[in-house]
This record gives sequence, C-alpha cells and structure tokens, in this order.
Amino acid sequence: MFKKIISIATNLIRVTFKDKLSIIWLFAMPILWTTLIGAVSSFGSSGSSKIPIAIINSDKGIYGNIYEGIMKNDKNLDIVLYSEEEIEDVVNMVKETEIASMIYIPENFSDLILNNNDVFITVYKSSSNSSFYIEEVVKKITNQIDISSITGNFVLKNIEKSVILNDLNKKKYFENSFNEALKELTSNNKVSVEYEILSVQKENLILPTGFNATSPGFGVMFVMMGAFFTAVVLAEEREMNILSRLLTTPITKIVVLSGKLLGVFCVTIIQFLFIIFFGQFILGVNWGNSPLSVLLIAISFTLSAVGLGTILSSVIKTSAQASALTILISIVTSMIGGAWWPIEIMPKYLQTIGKFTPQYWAINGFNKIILRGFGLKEIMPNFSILIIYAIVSLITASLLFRYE
Amino acid sequence: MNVVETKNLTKFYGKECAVDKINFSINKGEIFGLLGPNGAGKTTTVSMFSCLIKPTDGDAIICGYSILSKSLDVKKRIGVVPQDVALYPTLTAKENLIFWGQMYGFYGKNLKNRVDEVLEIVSLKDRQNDLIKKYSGGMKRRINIAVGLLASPELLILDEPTVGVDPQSRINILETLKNLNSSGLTILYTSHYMEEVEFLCNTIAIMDLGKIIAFGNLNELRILVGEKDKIIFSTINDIKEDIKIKISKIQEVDKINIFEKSLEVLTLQGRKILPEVTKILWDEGIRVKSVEIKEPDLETLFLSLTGKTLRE
Repeated sequence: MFKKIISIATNLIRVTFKDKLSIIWLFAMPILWTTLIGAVSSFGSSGSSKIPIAIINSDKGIYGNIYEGIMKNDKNLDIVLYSEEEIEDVVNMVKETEIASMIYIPENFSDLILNNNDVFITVYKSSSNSSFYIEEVVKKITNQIDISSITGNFVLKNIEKSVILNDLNKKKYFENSFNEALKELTSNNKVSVEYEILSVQKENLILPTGFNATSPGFGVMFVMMGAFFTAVVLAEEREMNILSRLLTTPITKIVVLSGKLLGVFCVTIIQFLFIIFFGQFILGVNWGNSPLSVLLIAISFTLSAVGLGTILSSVIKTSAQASALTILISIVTSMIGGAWWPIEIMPKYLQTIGKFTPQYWAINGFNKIILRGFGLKEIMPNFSILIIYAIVSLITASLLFRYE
Repeated sequence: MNVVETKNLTKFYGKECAVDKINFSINKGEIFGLLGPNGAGKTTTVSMFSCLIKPTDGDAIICGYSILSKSLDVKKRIGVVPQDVALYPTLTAKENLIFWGQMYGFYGKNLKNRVDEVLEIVSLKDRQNDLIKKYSGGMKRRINIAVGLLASPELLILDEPTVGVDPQSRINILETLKNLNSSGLTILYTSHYMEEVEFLCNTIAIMDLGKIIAFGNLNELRILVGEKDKIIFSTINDIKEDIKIKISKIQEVDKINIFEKSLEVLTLQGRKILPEVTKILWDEGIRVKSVEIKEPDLETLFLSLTGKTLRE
C-alpha cells in the first residue's frame, strides 16, 4: 500500500515538473513578485532587514566606544549614532516608533568603570514596542562589560597585594584583564539571557517592509496557489478519466487520495523551501535563527493549503473552473490575510476576517521569526492553529472528494 | 468454466433504470460482444464489472469473485480499457506504462520486462519514449489497451475502444485482440459498431434500454429473428412518412425505416417485393438513385428486435 502511495505521489511530482507552465507559476512568479514588489516597497527606506537603534554615546573614554562597538557587531541591529544635542529629537523618534529604541551611554561611563563604581546604561523604548530583543542584547553586553570590569578589578587587587602599582600601570593591568575577559565573553557565550514574557502587550507596530514583507507574504500566497493547483490537477485527471481508471486497478480510494495529497504536499513544500532560501540568500531576508520554527510553520501551512485545495477540487466541475477559482481565492484570501500589506494597516473588521485565513497565521508566525527573532516557543500558537486547519481541511477533503 | 456470470444485475440512477436485471455468462477463452446503441447500458454494465460502481441489486461473479464483496480480488484479475484514453499526455508511453504497472503491483525488473512485452504486443516499442500527446489517435488507443494488458489479466474488458479511430488503426486493434484471444485471453468487448462485433466476437449479447434482448452467436441470432433481406433505396428527393403506410400494405414487408433520402425495408422476399415498392415510390414522385439488397446482419437484427437502428 505504501509503495503505491509513493508511486502515485512521485508520478504527480513528475507530471508537475514536466509542465513548463507549472514551473513558471511555482518558482518564477514568486521570485519575480517578491523581488519587484519588495524592491519597490523598500525604496526610500533603508531597505535594511535589521532593527533600527539609536545610540547617544556621551562617554569620553574607551569603554563607551567598546560598548558601542559590540552593539554594532550584532547582525540584527542597525545602529545609528546621534549626538547629545539631538537627544530630544531621538526621544520623539522612539515615541513615533520610527526607531525601536535609544541607548544612552553617559559621559562618565569609562571613569565609573575604571573606578569600580556603579554605572547605568539607559534604554529608551516605546510602550507599544513589545520586542524584548533589544533588552536582551543590552543586558548581554552590559553583563559582559560588568563581568570584564569585575575581572579587571579582581586581577588588579590580586596584583596589588604583592606589588605597588602607579596609576598608569593600574590602568594598564586593568585594561589588559578587562579586554581578555571581554574577548572570552564575546566569543564564547557561556552565559546567555533567557526571559519570560510576563504580560501580553499590544502587537508591536514595527511593520515589515521591503523584502521582509514580500518574502514571507508572497511566499505564502504562491504556496497557497501552488497547493490550490491540486484542484486543477485533480479536476484534469477526473476529466481524463485517470482517477476512475486508477480505481479499476487493485488499489483503494484512500490509497489514491493519499498518494495525490502527498504528491501535492511535496511539490508545494519544495516550492516553499525554494522561496525561503531565495529570500534568505539572495534578498538578504533574515529568516531567523530557528530553522525548525520556520519549517514547522511552512509544513503546517502547506498541509492546510493542500487540504483546502482538495476541497475546492471536490466542488468544482471542470479544470477551467478550477484554474479561475484557484487564482481568485488565493489572491483574495492572501490579501485579507496580510500577504500583500501588513494586516495592521487594514480596518479592524478586515483584520478580524483575516484571522480566519491560514495565511494570517503563517505570516504572523514568520514575522515573529524575522522581525523579532522569536523561536519555537513563540510560534507554537501559530503552528497549533495551522495544524488544526490542516486536520479539519484534510478530513473534509477526504469525505467530499469525487473520483468521477 | 465461466469467467463472468451475472445474477439479476441491476443499476438505478435515481429513478432511472440503466441496467435491468441482466443475466448472462462469458466462457473462458471467448470474445464476448456487448452490442447496443448509446444509452443501452453497456458502459454501466462494464463499470460494475470493473468495480467502479456498485450495483443497486444483483451481483456478478468475475473470475470466481463477487464484485460486491471481493472487489480487490476482481481487480487483480481483470484489465480494463476505458472508452476514453486515460493516459498522462505529458509523459511518454513508457512512463505511463511504468506508472500503471506500479498500480498493478509490479516493480523493478518484473515491471520493466512486462512493459517491454506489452509494447511489443501493441507494436509501439520503437515509439516508447515519445510523449503521449504526440501520438496519433490510433496509437493512443493502442497504449490504452497496453495498460489493460499489463497485469496479464484473465479477463480484458474493452469499452468501445475504437471510437474516433481511423479505419487502419481500427483494423490493427481488432487484429491484435484476435491474436490475444488465440493465446487464451477472455475478452469482453462493447461497441455500437456491429461490423466490429461481427468480425471479432464468438458470442454476442444485444442490449437496449438496460435489458439483454438477444444472446447467442451470429447464426443463433439470425435464426432468432428469421432470415430477412434488407432492401435499401437511395433517393434523389426526400421521402415522406406517409409512404410507410402504403408500403406496409405489401404483405411480405416486415419493417420499414425512413431516413431523409433513403428507405430501408425488411422482408423475407426481397426480390419479389422490389418491383412493387419501386412502383409505389415512382407513383409518389420519388426518384430512386440506387437500390441494394443486403443479407441479414446485426444492424438488421437490431432493427428487427427493437424497431430502431443502432445509429439512433
């Protein structure tokens, strides 16, 4: 039985990839749309896929620069430097969510570190910004500086037990120990910060733009179209009497349907992975540090799309109907689900309707991964809802499916 | 031994009866023809035999297994050639056969060998790597038949396999089937082309409106309806219906069929009544272009049994 399911699936994949029109719709069109519209929508903006952060470094010494340097090395942050005089303007930018955050390094930062005194880094953040990523980065760097400073002071104290040092030597020994410790801490992350979200905040208004928007958005839309393609394929096979001929061979209906669904799933997951890799490696979209999270969303969304496509193939009569409806339904539901523009900019009632589409949950999940650096735990609600969609749609499809 | 045996096989579509309590059997090694016009119930009958649709009532035993309770066992033993060419047009003949062979449970070297064998049978081995969409209609039909042969079936069911095919390809197909039968294959062949059934089949069942109205070999069927001649008049002008009344007054006339510019008369004594019918036509102002007297054939038998032609 499984051998025949695999044969049916493999045959469907072969037939699909032999069709030039299918290749265009599955691979060429998503690349074209994603690139063109992503390029247009990122024009005038930095086009950066990184979180924009302002730093005002008023420190006169080296440690403020060290702090600034470590922040600049974070690949997810787009650091812009401002001067003390611009502080009010920058605070307004934070309030208007033009930038995610402002970090203020005070004037006496280096002196306080050298003298082993308490020192504070101030982070300005909008209350509507629920991202914890910046706090995590600031805490991490602050801890690294803190531990390096403690190490430097510890080494200095130990040396001073046996040797009397002048101020210049004190500074030299401190800096050497500090730098060694900092080098160790920044290259080997032995201690990392974990945080628990204690309260639900309003959806952050950092909206995806450019390729950050189009790569997941149009990816989801074209995968939906690719899965709806099942409707056309199955309708064509029904018209050609291939489905009914299959039932004259010694196999059951469930084997036929399972094989067809597996074939369509394989085609669309290949399509999805192609779109993701294209986004990641060509367009510079950061699909996050959790490939497992991306894979789970991709798989669950694809399954629900395959189920919905098969339901469509059961209710339409001809392949011509299927072709027309495939494009119409994919585009409209994708628009409402937030594939074409962020759902946050739509009226409330449309946002509510959008939440009934699987596209919404997929895009929302991808945005959590791309924009906020979230991982497995945070995307679990999205994955769960998409899996429920998939189970319900696949069961409904198997009950409604017609072979003649 | 019977390869097929039906027991009051019946199929209703809603209130419409498509197959009405048919009973017949097919012996091993026979070519059995199921003849009837469109809508007679032939395709419904073979669909039930193929386990595609369930009968409303009754049963059929195919190769020793019931279509109701042992459909998988039935399917393992039959090969089905549907009326429409059910092949993937964007795959080659070989790729199609490999796929369908896998559906019959063949894999690996067994499958490869079997595919080669059926390609030889249908004489398309040299075109095996061509796409089906590039084949002519006749070639597609032959590959369609090849699929049905893959599992070396005990019974090959063909549902009007030569529709839309050129005469040369049709002859080729019929010859191939005869050769297969001479090797022992039992064949169920449905058609509305009586000349095919006459050429091919040992036993014929004539079906109309869901019922088997006659059954036997060609000679038995001729005896059943009596030896009758068919006189065909081709005319220059149209023939009106009221001619029927005048011609039917001739005692020896059995049945009359009127078309636009032709008239068919069924009679036991064709030569005797020919002058009389010709005079009636002349008196009515109908000019005769040609006259032909034909011996009884299946078309005649059908007309005699049902009062209509296979073409209606």
